[in-house]
Amino acid sequence: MTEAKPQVNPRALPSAMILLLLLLTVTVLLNVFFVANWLSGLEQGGAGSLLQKLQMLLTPGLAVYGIYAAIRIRRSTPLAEIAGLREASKAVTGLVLEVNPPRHTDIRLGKHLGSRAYVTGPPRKPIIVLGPELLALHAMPGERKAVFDAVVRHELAHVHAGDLWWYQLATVLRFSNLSTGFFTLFVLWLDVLLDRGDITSFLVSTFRLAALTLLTELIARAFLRAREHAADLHAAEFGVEGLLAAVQSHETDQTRSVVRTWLRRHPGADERSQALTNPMRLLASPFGQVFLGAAAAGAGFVTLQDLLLTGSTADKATPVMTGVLLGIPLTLFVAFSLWRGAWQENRNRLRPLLTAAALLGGLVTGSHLPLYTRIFDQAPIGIPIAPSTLLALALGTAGLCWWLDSLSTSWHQTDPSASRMPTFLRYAVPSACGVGGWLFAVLWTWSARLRGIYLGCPLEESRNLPICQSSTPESDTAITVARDFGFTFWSILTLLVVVATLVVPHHLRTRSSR
Amino acid sequence: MAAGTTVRTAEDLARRVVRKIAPEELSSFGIVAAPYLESPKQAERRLRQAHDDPLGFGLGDIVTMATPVIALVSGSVITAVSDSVGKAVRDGTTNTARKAWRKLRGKPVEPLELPSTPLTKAQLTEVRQIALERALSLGMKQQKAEALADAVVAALVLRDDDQDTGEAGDASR
Repeated sequence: MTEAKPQVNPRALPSAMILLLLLLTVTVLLNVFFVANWLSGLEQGGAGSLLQKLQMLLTPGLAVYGIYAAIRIRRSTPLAEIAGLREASKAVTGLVLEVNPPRHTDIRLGKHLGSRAYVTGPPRKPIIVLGPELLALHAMPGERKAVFDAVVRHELAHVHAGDLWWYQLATVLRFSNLSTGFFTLFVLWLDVLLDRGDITSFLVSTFRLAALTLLTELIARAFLRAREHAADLHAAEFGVEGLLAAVQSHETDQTRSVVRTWLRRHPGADERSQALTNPMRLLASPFGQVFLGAAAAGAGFVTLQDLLLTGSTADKATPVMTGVLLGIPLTLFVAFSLWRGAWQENRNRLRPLLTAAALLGGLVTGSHLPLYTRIFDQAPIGIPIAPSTLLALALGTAGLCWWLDSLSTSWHQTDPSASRMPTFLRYAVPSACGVGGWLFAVLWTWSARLRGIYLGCPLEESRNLPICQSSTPESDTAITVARDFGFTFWSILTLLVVVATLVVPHHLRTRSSR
Repeated sequence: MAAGTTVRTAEDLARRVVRKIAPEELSSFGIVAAPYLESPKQAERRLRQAHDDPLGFGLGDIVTMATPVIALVSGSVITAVSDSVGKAVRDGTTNTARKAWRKLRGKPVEPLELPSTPLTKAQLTEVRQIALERALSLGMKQQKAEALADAVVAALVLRDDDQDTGEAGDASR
């Protein structure tokens, strides 16, 4: 007799949606804080000026959300007030009672919505607006009625999960990102007008600014797509047939376009259909998501270092602090991505390696996106494209991903149903924080030192420094980093944590199997 | 349109065609067809657009109803026939100016009407071609589009026949 496959509850594992929301929040707030600080610095203003700039950058998002929701509500009519739609209103009310959302939900007709539907309004008073063509389906036989039920349940699932709060937050962050980009562009343009910058550097900066703004927007869209998957799964609890019928009619080649997929607020029809048929697929986060997270972290390393740097060349603590402060959340982001994948059926064995590649690519790309305005003006350099730094980064990220993956695969063998996930997280999260913090402190310090040599040595006043006279600056940097981090307490502790987390679970497993 | 009248406007024509080729949609005809008859250009633009509303369902045209296409085709047919007979523009003023003036005065825009004279064979052939091309351009499949074009011609040929005696019953279903 074959052993029954253990059922894994996807909700037992850390949610991709929360990870993306945190990533979006950190990325936007870091950018906003940096630009607000920079703008207030230009005005020679103090803390008051900084707060004023923060307010200026964060307010447009709230205003846009309010105006957009007001327009949508104004264009709709309460369903119960329309004489010809009493039956449709009753059918929707029946579905509301079935799903039982925690808040009173108004149902309205959007005359010009066609067959579409959406949730809008203030988060405490959600409103579902339905198009006439969708409402017409309630009285039709067979699959059409099932599609009507499925779409209304999907919208009710958004209300049930309080998605309007998340959407409001995401809107504020997205528009803050756009307004930050706009103000930065404006200041760069002023720089050109006042003859303080040349047009080439303006164009390069504009390109980097656009890429950084797009990066944040892509994270926001990935978050919105994760929400839609969650709403689909909730709606599917009441019956999956109608949802599948609605979704499968759209499985066309168009939805498989990568660019469209990344820019959409909803997952493609084929992706939704596969997730509905096998929800465990959602545990495997796309590698693109790791790339986005790593690129945001790469930009964050440079931005945070720029914010923290005192300006003194002897400031050795800043790169370490920057590495630890951003290395910990980055490691956790990668860790959750790998750990979720460990419980997926038919998991890709190359997953750790591909994740490491996405991590490395994202870090290097992202580090070249921010605009260095406080210390180095607009020097186009992030993590140096030097063999020694890239090799160290590649080895470090590959080792980190392999270790993180080993933790989860080892635990998966003793807990295939993920029922003891909190216990796993209690030991794995602190270990990952420690190891990731140390690793990125080393790697970022290495990069920052080499970057300092490349930026500082061409200057007249630095030419006489011993490091600038060296013919092998890369190996000199490697030696100083090895000397500074080699046999310290933190390095030995990190090594012990790695060994212990690999050996102890294996030992416990072999003892219990005896 | 009241039950049992002749086909004169796009709404009359659309209702008859829906009754012929998609009778299950007749009960919701009024509410579904209204935007396509009132402002066909905007409605067509929305129909063709790919929608990705935040917190929506995400797949814009999940419902493939025949009524929107029939309403748009009927509007095009009535406009084409009126123009060809030369009576679409009333009282010597241009259509656009007249519409704008009425809108400014807060009066509803009068729908275009078919001429009272019966259509010639050549005109009916042209109408069929227009209806077929329009339905195909709106994404309808060949077979359905041909059925729609035939239904449009039939409705125009038999437009004075009181065929709608059962319509009140259909509408209340």
